[in-house]
Amino acid sequence: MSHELWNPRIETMPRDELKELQFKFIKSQINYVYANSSWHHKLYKEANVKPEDIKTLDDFKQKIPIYNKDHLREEQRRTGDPFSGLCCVPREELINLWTSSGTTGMPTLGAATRNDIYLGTEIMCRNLWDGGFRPGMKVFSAAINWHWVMPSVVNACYRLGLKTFGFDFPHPLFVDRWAKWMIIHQPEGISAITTEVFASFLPLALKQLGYEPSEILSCVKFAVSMGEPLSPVARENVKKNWPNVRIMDAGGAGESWCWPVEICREHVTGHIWEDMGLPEILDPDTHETVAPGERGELVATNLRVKGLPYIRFSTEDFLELYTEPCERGITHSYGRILARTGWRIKVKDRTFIPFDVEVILQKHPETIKAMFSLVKYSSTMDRLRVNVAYDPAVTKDPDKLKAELKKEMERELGVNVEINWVKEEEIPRPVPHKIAKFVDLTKG
Amino acid sequence: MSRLWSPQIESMEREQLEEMQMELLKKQLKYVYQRAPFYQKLYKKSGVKLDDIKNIDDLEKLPLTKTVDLQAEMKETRDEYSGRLCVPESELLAVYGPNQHPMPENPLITGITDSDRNTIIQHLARKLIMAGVYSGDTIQSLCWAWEPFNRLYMAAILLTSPSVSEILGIIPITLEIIPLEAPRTFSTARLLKPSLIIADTGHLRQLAAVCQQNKISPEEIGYKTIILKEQRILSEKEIKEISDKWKAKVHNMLEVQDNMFYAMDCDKHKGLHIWEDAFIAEIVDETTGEKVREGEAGKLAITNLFAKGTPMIRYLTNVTAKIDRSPCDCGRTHSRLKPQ
Repeated sequence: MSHELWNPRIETMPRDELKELQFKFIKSQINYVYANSSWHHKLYKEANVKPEDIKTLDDFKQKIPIYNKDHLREEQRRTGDPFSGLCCVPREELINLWTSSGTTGMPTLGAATRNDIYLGTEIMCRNLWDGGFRPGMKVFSAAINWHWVMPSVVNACYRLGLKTFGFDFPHPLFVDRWAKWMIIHQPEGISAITTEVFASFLPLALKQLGYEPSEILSCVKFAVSMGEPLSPVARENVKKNWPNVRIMDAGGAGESWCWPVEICREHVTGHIWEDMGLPEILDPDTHETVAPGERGELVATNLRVKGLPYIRFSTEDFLELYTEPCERGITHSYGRILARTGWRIKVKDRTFIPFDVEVILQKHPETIKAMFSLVKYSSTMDRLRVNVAYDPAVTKDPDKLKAELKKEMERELGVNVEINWVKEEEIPRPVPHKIAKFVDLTKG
Repeated sequence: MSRLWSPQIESMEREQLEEMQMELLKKQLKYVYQRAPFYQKLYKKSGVKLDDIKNIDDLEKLPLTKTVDLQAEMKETRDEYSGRLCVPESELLAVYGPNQHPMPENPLITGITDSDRNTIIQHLARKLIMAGVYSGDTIQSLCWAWEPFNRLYMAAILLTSPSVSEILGIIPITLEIIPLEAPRTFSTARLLKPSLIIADTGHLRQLAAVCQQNKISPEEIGYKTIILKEQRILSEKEIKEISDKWKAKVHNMLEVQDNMFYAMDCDKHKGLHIWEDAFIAEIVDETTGEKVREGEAGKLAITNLFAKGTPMIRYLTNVTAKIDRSPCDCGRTHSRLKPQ
């Protein structure tokens, strides 16, 4: 038997068998939350649906209501329960607590039971192993203490027997620490790094220390980049500085457990483990299922989580998903997260997401770091407004660059574009490791 | 008498405790001498035989472990552990860098094994009980993500020991200590109402600023206890200021992370207890390396008696302190570090 996959029986399970397994989990999970979670109980009562009404997957999709973060916040305010009535176990069974990254404002809470941590570890083991990590490999692992993914990454590193160098919060402030350690310790893998440190800050820091990034970074063969999806152009740029790296993009999708991590060389998008979570891709406005491969909102269901299970939770992540088996025989669907649904901006009937602009900015060395925000300045817009920071060290003529970018964007996007130069530190950072690529001026 | 986590150890008769220390010291010296090239070289060069170490005072005969010597060893041998690693690399759970920013040149690294983790978890459990934590409490614990400290709370499903939170039945919220992250500390505190926070003075200052922005007093956050985790011993004045501002009981936790050493004061607040079943603490003169007279101030040197990964013997720290070996009113017999 091939040792290429961590859990071959589950990972290559025929799709109809997988669907059957999924539905078993759905049924038991619906019973579980109806009995144990006050939020779900109330929600289903109001929708007049009982667990025994769910006899098929279609029943589930038609009868079980969808909710989002705002609903949970409202419930939190109303009841004073910090978990918004999601918690299904006595509080002392929650052995880790964390907050969401808070890209969308006030952080929401996450928590896990021992069982949940076990599941998260299994997910991360599959991702790391299938991606190529092997026992004894020297890896750098970044941690964010409050982040939900950390127990899974740490435990998977233990479980795979990796030689882990515990690392700091991959904030641009500490990138110097990364650079110095990279020179001394030359790891073979990186089990977690934030996207912007990976794509731009670390190579730049090495350059500033007087090293050629592609020489120092040639030791790295695998890297899991987290936080933001990498655009195709960003990938090309990464390849210049990290000549031997196999990029494992793991952007987005919080504690929904539907979390695509790019583990196959054959296709750029990542698998969602469907024995752990059920991903549905729906039109964000009508909640209709979109065709496979079309862009839509991820509505996620935790199939096995026992602490704070989310059932048909609208994640506000915008992604595309493919369901046919991949070249390696993995039958679980794969896709990638492109943006937050709230980040869509409408200009003259055309919808744009920050990703569309990012791809163009990253083609230019002056704006390769893609420090920018799309600005929604009114509910009806006749042009796309982009605030961009250029790199003063390599920019000779900002006016000429602005004109070039404007022309290029207008050609590619087909609408009028307004570019405003801002300083890098003027781009808002809702959390230290992410910039706000979308700014809404229409909301007070 | 106060609540103790391991009463038979924490309140052990002094004589018995020193006997135990001596036994552990002999074992540990033999252990590092056989496995760590750095110590082999150091002790051979100094001409001391391990058999000459017959009681704790003899420890003085051994040379101090200094950071500069370890860095020189690293440069010379190109060994990233500076010749301190005592186990096969595969037995290390993880490797950590120094708890300093910016990072020094030739940074020392610390390797932690499963058994090291178990011991530090026991030490932390003793301290949390000492700070008045009860089962069912929610606590906030802040550190840099590069420290092993956070991992003590993390449920590790494959390791032999449960986390400190599982042992004590408490709910931990682990957070970043970087002052930039104070708003998150604030919002989780408002939601979950923790009774205790472990942080440093810098973060606490920032947290107070966030409170002000939100127009509430620090007191309203509702911490009963604040543990200040620092790389130095705070003065009584500093502690009092913070205690008055937050209307909370304040403890000081001193950390020497390279040698897995954490010391904290009990509710009598008369010095920071050193767990002497795990460490030998000495106060030495920085320049001569000799022990100062009992009760005088000097630099703290720490011998780790339990670590299996990268233990250090007579590790000279940057901490200035004096030591009080008399039993404490709290019932603990383990000696206490006091500020200058």
